[in-house]
Amino acid sequence: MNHLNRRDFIKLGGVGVAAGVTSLTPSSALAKQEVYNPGATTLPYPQLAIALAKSLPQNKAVYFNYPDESSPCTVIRMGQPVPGGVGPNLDIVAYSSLCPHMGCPVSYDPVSRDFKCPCHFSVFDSEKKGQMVTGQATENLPKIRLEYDTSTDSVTAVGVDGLIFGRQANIL
Amino acid sequence: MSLNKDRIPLPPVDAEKTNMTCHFCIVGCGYHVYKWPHGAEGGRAPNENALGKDFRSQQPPLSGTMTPAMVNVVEDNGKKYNIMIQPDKECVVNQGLSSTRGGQMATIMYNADSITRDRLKYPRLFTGDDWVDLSWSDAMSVYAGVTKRILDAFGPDSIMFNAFDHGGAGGGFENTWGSGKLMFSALKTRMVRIHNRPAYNSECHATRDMGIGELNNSYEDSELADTIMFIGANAYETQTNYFLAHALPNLTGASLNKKKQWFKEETVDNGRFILVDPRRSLTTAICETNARDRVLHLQINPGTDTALFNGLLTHVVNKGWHDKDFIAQYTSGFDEALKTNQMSLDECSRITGVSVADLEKAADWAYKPKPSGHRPRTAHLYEKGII
Repeated sequence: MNHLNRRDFIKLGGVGVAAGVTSLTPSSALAKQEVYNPGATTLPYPQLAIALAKSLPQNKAVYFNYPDESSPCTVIRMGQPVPGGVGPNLDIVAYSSLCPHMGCPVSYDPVSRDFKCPCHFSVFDSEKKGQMVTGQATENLPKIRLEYDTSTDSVTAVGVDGLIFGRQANIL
Repeated sequence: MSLNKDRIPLPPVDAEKTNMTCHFCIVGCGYHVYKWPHGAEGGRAPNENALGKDFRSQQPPLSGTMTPAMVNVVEDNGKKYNIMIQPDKECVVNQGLSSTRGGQMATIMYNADSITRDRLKYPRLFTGDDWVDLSWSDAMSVYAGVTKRILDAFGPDSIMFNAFDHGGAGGGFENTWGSGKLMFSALKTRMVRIHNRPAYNSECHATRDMGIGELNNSYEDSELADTIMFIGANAYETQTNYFLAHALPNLTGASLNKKKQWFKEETVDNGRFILVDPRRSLTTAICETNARDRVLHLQINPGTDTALFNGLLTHVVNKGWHDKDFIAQYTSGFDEALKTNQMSLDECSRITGVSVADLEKAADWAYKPKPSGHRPRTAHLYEKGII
């Protein structure tokens, strides 16, 4: 599905908590509202402006939290187009920093260009949408859906593909 | 229905909870199974789900694991049920760890709408240049007919079996026992190549006859050993939780206090690992990452492990490190074996491709008496082929 369409769909009233969705309100506020919405087929992800594309260093991890403060994430400008990449060079990707196996923090290795977990040695490919290369996870590294605004050069997080470790649903 | 995989159903508090042992490798990890009527779901508050966890907040690292691969929908007596299969923290084997195999047990339960719909339902025969489905009776006729013709014309040893065997809870015991009866008792062939530990018990066929009991160690031995020699075993990938929960803590020193308590009179230290393998496996890389100076990789030429152990045997006896009393009391034919298998370290090095210095280092680590005078407690974990 086209990401812009999905976001616009949510914005346009698919979710009752539109104020929380379209602003950067912390999702703890969202969670407390517990609005039952029979029309929704997606979780009410917030939109979070992460950085300007030109401000991201090449092949270096930059950290942010999404969709809320207890979910650490990593954004990287790879320097060459990669699957799922956004930005002027289609090279910006972001992932959850929590290993989907047991939640240890993965770290980005700029030489092998993958994420490594120190606890049980799972490895995830930053250039293949977080695919597990080896290890004990049963899932790929959850990928943060990003959008790029050409007019402002802004990279915005709009959703998550895959279940973040330690959650029943990505929105608490 | 949303196709997003960013949330999963929780078992309600009244979900049926049972224990199971993993279907995959022989390690035998414990898992919990939750089963409840399809359509029902537990809540996120700790008193609203069978896991007793509060999913209104982020769960901390290592507190457990719960992934989309651990849930599925199954059918039982015409009714649909949700299932969740999670590793058991109380189980002494895996201690809450799940491997990438066991962690997907729920996924491989039969569900007509999932990947399991592609399962094989009939025996297949390779004929012409293609595999074709056969009825069971046709397949048995072909199998029995061909087997009988070979038996009648050439005798039983002309039939060679290349057989799987695996234990665990996946039916391996019954399969192995049944196929063993067919191969050894009914057809009476001696030509059997099997996959796993070669002992003729309900799990696998044949080394007990050669004096090596199968599965004669406790997993705790890997926590307590001074040295572990992994021979052709890539334990991180193939016996994952045994390696992660019991062997690796020895290498890193996490089990050192336990050793001190058990062996008060002996010199004890962090474990040393000797990896005998032509491959540089993931196990090698992970061990070296954790304690480079306590890991020795003997990258032997393929098929030369017999030469390696003949060389080590000769060297150890020359040094006088062997236990003469034990050998006299419990073995026979030792002198003959020594004479027959005599091999110098130089010759051993030439055949195996491992330097004499590394062979000596392996012998020191595995067999040289410790500073306290005690023999080292060395565990030999072996495999017989690519695993």
